[in-house]
Amino acid sequence: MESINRVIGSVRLFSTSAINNARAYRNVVNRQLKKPVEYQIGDIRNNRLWVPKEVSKYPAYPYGESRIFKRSDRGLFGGQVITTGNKVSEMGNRTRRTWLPNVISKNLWSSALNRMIKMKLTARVLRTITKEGGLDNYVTKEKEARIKELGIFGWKLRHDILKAREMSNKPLPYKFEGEYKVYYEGTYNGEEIKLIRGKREILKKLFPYVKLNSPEGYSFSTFNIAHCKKSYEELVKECESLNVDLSEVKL
Amino acid sequence: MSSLAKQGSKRYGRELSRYPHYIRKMFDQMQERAQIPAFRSEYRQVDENERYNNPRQWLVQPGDTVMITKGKFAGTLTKVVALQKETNRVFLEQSETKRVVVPKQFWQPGQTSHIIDYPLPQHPKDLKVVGTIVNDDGTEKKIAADKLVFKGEYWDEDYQKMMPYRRIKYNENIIIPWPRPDPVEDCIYSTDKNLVNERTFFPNSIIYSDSPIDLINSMRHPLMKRPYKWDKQYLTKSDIKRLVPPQPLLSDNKKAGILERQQIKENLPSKPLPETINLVGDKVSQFLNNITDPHLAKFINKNSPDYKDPKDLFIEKQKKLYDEKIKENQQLNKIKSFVEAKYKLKRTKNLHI
Repeated sequence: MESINRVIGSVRLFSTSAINNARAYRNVVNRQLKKPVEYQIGDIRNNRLWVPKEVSKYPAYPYGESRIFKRSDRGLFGGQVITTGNKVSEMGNRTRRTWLPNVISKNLWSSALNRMIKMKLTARVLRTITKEGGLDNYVTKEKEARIKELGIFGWKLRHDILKAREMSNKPLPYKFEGEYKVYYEGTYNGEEIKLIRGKREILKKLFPYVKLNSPEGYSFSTFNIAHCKKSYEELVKECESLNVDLSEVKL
Repeated sequence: MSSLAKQGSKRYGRELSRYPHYIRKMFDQMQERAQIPAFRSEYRQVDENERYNNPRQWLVQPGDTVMITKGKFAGTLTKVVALQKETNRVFLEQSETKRVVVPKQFWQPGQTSHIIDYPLPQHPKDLKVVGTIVNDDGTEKKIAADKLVFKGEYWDEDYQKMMPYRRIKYNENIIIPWPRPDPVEDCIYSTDKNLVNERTFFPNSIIYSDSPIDLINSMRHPLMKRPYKWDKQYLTKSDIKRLVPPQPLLSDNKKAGILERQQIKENLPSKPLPETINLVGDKVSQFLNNITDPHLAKFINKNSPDYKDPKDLFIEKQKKLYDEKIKENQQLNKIKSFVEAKYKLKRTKNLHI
């Protein structure tokens, strides 16, 4: 019993709530953001409206980007920014000075993404990561204070991790049969068939047959838009009606 | 390009409709200042979107007899000569005038003095349209319409368009007809009306157009992909996809929490139990029955769902009586008509015999 007590005594107790209450995240909460505009199809497009070329991968960070100390958006800084104050000499003379947060660069393991991630982070955040039990737990916590201190880098990392977790929970679209991935099992022209290629390969096989029976100028892209969301069953039925050669795609 | 051509052209000239209203006002003032005093208009030019463009707005047309209601000439009957579209006003035969000095190069034929009296245009709201009605004994009487309403439309051959019926408000059976416009005489260059209406093109097919295939390329350079600056652009589905970022994902804990809350909400009873209703009802009735203040009791009785206003009750009673009377009269009429018909038949029969 004594030995256990000695071990417990040496470990610091977990009491993060008191520290969280003390932190106000003044720099984060003060940021003023534009209200998101609700766009609808057919609205008049302003000439000055800039439309990005690609769809954005990540959702918008609710607190926006940092206005001061832009470095903090490129790492996990826990809401810490440069602070200013005075250096006071023995004579009471005050000279302005600054304090930077204790930033270190580190390779941290993410179990959801299954790789090391190199990043810059403050020593304070590293301490909370060890307390939370890993980078993933730190980044995916739902508390409002945590989201405030994540910054844009942390917010993007959080989205990646949540997405990876979601993907890992999803069932695979194929079964393994030896080396081959079997995407679909069914009947084709009265015989059993096992498709070992994805939808895109099957659509490539189907397209020339469909093109023969359609008006001129029928492109693959328009064909793809109409067919990409169909199930394997529907695609196989269409192939059956047009008598498509699927010998290269089946097992 | 000469400056004159620049002023008139739509492409190189200054088109005022493209400027905001406050800058447009500045240009108007500049133009006004550049004029000699004789040609400065008394009234401000109206914006193009506020100008009157149909007879419903104008209320009068050239040729109408009107009564002036404002100014020095209030009460006089005159005729409308012309419409001044820039200021939403009309010129009258007899109206207030302004003395202006006209330079000699702008003199009209027959003018002998530098000073002339220029008529001031009048706003149609300061006029009353005068019409004539014929009495039973054949005499004519002039009436001035205080207010006008427009109801119904007809095709006017002289105006060559649909014109509304101009009626006097509160006496809508009295119609003041529109004056006949001056007939337009055809000049040498005008085309005959029948020639214009003649059909000369008959398409061969509904599906295939007769125009050449590369007509569009001949109209605009095929390599010019940039949309025209002043063309209106509309947001497409792909635009919105690129403009709007995806929604943030939810963690497993949060999803579980939302599910739990939803389940709790579903399990909660949507209506109060009968026991609770009885309990609350008993307590409320006990409280209401113990009220001693007569004013409060009256107020509470008024708010009960069974309460009926004595005024409404009286009206209902009157209605019932009225309905009964109508029914009685209908029956009496029936009997009366039946009897009358019977006697008429008898009379006719007798006559024949």
